[in-house]
Amino acid sequence: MNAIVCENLTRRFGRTPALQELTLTVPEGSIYALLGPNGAGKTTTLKLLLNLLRPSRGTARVLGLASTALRPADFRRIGYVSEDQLLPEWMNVAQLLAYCRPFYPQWDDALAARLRKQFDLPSDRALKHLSRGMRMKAALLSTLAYRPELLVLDEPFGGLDPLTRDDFVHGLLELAGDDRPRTVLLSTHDLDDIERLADHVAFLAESKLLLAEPADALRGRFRQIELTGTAPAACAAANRPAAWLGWREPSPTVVQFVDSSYVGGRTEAALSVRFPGARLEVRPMTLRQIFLALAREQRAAAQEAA
Amino acid sequence: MNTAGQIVRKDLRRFWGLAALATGLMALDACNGYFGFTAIIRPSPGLDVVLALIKWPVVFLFVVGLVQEDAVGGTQAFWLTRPVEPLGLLGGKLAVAAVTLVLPYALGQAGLACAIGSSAPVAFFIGVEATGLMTAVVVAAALLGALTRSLLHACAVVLGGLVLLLLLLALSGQIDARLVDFLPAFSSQISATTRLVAGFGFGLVGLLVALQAQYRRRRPAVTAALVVGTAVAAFFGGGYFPLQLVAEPSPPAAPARVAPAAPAPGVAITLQGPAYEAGFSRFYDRQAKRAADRRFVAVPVQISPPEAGRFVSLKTATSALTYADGTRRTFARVNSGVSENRMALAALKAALGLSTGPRPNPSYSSRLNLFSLDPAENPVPPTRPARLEVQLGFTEFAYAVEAALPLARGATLTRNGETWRLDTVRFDAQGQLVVEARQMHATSLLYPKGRARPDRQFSSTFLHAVVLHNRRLNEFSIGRSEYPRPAFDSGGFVAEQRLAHKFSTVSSPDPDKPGPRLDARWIADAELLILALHSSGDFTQTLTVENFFLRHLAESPPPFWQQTADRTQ
Repeated sequence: MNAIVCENLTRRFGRTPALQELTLTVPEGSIYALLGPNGAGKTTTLKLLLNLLRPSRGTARVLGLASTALRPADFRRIGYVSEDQLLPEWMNVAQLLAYCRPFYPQWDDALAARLRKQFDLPSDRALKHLSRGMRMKAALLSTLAYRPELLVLDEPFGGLDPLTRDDFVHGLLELAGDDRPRTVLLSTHDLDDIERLADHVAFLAESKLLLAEPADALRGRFRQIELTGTAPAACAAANRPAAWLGWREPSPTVVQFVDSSYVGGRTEAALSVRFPGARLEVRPMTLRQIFLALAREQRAAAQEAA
Repeated sequence: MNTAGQIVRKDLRRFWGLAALATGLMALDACNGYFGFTAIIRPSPGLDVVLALIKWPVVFLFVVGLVQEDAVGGTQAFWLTRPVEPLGLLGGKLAVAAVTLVLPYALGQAGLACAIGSSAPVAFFIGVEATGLMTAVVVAAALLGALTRSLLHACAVVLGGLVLLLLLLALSGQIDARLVDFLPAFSSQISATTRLVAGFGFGLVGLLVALQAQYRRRRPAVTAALVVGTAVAAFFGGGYFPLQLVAEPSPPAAPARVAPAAPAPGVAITLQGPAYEAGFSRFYDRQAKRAADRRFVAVPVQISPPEAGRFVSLKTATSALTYADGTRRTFARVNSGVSENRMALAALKAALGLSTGPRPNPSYSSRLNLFSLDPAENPVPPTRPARLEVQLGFTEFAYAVEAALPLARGATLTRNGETWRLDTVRFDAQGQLVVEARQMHATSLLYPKGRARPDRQFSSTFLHAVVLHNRRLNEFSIGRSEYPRPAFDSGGFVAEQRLAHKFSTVSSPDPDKPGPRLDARWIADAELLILALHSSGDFTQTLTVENFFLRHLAESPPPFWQQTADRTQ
C-alpha cells in the first residue's frame, strides 16, 4: 500500500519548469526524504501533493485521493509543517493548540501535553517571541497532536541550530506506536539528520528526479572506490561505465570514483579483472556523500550540455 | 466543529482593539449626531466632519487586516493545510465584520433617526440602508484584502483606484452624454432610486461571488473576470432594471400657496431714473447648444411694501414694448433681482410686534431688471420710444416660529421628524451671548415619503431668524448670525445644519437707539425662538412706463469685469 503515488507530475511557472515528469511512490509506513539542492523542486513537489499548487501535467494520489481533489476535511489525516508557513504568531503555544483542537475530532490532549513537555515549549509566550526552532517545534506539536496518517515536512531543519535539530529529530524518532505518523515525507537539503531518520530517499536535481529508493539499498549500491598502482590511461573516459561517478585522478597512480551499482564481491572481482595488479579500496558512503556525488555529477553534466 | 464559529472567536481575540475602535467611532459619531459633543469642544471647526469620516479608513484597515490574517492568496497560509473550509473561513470573517461593524452602524444610524424624531418605518429603512452600505464597504474591503498580500499593497491599490476614479470623473462629462444617447434605458420610467438600489444590489451580490471565488482559490483570472462582471452588472443591471422597487419621491408637500392677505396693487413701485444697460451674463443654451452673452436692461426703482412688516420679494419681470404704430415687441421673462435683506428685518420686527422704524411705510431702493437682449435672438436695442408694460411676479413671505426652546444647553425639541437642539449657550469675552442651535433630520432612499425624502433640504440659514424672548417683560433680542455653516451630510442618513447667533442688546422700540445690554437677569426669563421665512403666496402686478426708450446700447457686451457700467442717457 502506498501513501503517495506520483505519475509524470509536472509543474511550470510560465516557461520555467519547476518540476518535470516526477514519478515517485512513497510506501505507507516509510519515512521518506526528498533530497536535493535549492531550487531542485522539492517544495514544489510537496505543494503539488497537498493541492496548494495545481500540476501543469501528470497526477498524484495522496492517501488514495487525487491531490487535486483534496478537500479541507482530508487535512485531518495529513499534517504539514513548513519553514515558510505563516503561523498565527500573535498566539502563544496554548492558544495555538486551543485554536487547532476543535478542527480535529481525533485530537489527543494527553499527547499534546506530553509533546509540549518533551519539546520544552513555553505555553505563555507569543510565537513571535520564540526562536525559529521553537516555532517549528510548536508547529510540529500542533500537527502531531491529531495523529496524522501522513506528515509532510518541508525543510524542517532550515536555519535550526544543531541542538534544536537534534531535539526535532528525536521528537519524531521517539514517538512510539500510534503516536508516530504512519508515513512521513520530508524535504531537505540538510543531510546530517536524514541518515538516522529516513528509510527511503529520493534525489531531485534541476527539477528532475535522479533516483528514488530505500536508503539501505542506496547505501548498499554506492561505494567510494580507490585504485592505487594503476595507470589511469588504462580506463579512458569513453570506456567507463555510466554507473561510475566523479572520476578523479589525484596522482598518476591513484584513481578515485563512486560506483553507483556496487554489488558486494562481484564488483571487486570485476575491478580486479579490469585493473590487474591495482590495490583496491572500497569504502561505504553516507547519504551525504552519495548526495554530493550525485549533485556534482548532475552539475557537471549540465555544464557540459550548456 | 463549526469552522466559522472558531474563526470568529480567534479573530475577535486577535482584532478586539481595532474592532473596539471602529465600533467606538461609530457609536461616538451616532452620539455626536444627537448630543453634539464636537460643538462643545472648542476649537472644533470640522471636528464633527473628521469624526464622521474617520471611521471609514478604520473600517478599511480593520477589514483588510482581518482578511489578511488568514491570507487567501499564496501557498503559505496556515489555514490552507488545516481542515478549514474556505467558505467557513469567509463566513467567519464576514460574521466578525457583521458583529463589529455592520450591526453597530445600522443600529447606531437607526437609533439616531429614532432619537431625532423619525417614525418607526423611516428608522427601519435607515437601518436597512445602513446595513447595505456598510456591508458593501466590508465586502469591497474584504475582496481587496483577499487580492493583495499586505496592508501597504491594499493601500496602494486604493490610491491607484482613486487616481483612476479622478481620471474617469474628468472624462465623465463626455462619457455621460454618450451613455445617455446610447442607453435608452436611462430614459425609461423606472425611478432613479430603483436603478440605484438595483445597481447597488447587483454590485453587492457580484462582490460576494467574487469574494467566495477568491476564497475557493479559483484562478486569478476568474476573480478578475468576476470583478469586471460585477461592475458591468451593477452598471447595466441598474440601468436596465425593469421593475419599480422604490418609487421616485413624490413631490414635496407644497407650503400653502394661498393668496396673500393684501394682493396687488399692494406694492408701490417708483422709477428712480432712466433705463440702463446693467451688464451681461453668460448663459448656456442646452437646446441650441451654445453659450450666449445676454445683456440686461434695468431701471432703478424704489419699492414700498403694502405695509410695514410685510415682506414681498420681486422675483420675475416679463416686459413688452408697444410702439406708436401699434407694433409690439415682447421679451422673455428675467429674474428681477431685488435686494431684500432690510425688508426681511422689518418683517421680523413686525412679526415680533416691534417697531419697524420711524416711517410707517419704509421703502427700499433697488435695481429692477426689465429684460435681456440676446445677441443671436434679440440683438436690436429698443431705441424708439414705446410704451413699456412689465408684468412683475412677486412672492410674499412671512416669518413663522419653527421652534421655541428653553435657553439652556442641551435643550431639545423634537417634532415632525425633526429635532432642534441647543449645543452652546455662553457669554463670550465681549459679554455677548453666543447661542448655537442644531437642526437635524433623517432621510431614507428606501422610504422617499414625506419628511424622509432623500432630497429634503434645510431652508437656508439666511432665511432663519433667531430671537430671545423674555416672557416676563415681553421683550426681544434679535440675534446676529455668526459663522453660518451649510448643512453637513457626511453620506450618513442624518443631516444637520447649525445656526450660531450672538445677542448683545434688547431690541429697542426706536431703531435708531440701541436697547439696554443683556444681563443674566433678563436672560433668566428668556426663551429662544427660531423663526423661518416661508412663502405665503405669489401675486403679479403690472408696471407701465410711457415713452420708454434707450438712447444707445454698447456695441458689444463689456468684459465680465465691467458688469454694471451705467452708460445710458
